[in-house]
Amino acid sequence: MTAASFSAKLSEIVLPDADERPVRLGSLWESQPAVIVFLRHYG
Amino acid sequence: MFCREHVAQLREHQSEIKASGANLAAIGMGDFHYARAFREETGISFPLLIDIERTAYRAVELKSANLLHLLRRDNAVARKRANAAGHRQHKLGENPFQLGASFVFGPGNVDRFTHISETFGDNASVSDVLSALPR
Repeated sequence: MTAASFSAKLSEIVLPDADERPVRLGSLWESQPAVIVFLRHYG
Repeated sequence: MFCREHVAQLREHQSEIKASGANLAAIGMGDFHYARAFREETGISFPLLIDIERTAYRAVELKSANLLHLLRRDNAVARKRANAAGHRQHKLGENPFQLGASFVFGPGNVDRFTHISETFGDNASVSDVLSALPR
């Protein structure tokens, strides 16, 4: 069995943006590439 | 300060990323107030998503550091580099040991590039990120 890709693991997660609008992560790379950066913290 | 350094590098290349047809987004922890302040201070115009529960961090099993990482030579080198670029440590978030990552995905659920941080300051090079984008 092949392990799920990182993109597949993240695609259905919904997070709010800084203006409190929900964003389904997979929508960012559904039809175009996307650079996704996880920050350590905001320090 | 390493987050600010990485975000500043991405901001510098944002137009290049956009020209390739790619989206750019950052995911951080902390509350909305914290995120908005970070957005204003760093001047980013790309989306900053908020993952207070660390749902996405856990989904891809991102790593955590510990106090011993502060003693590592690569940490000292990264700190010196970030300081030299003018980045300073600001108030830490709720989980200062959480480490980050950089990915290039898509179109579709395709992993083009993965960099999972091993310690503080271990960020992907922007040139590697750009190289992973389709031409």
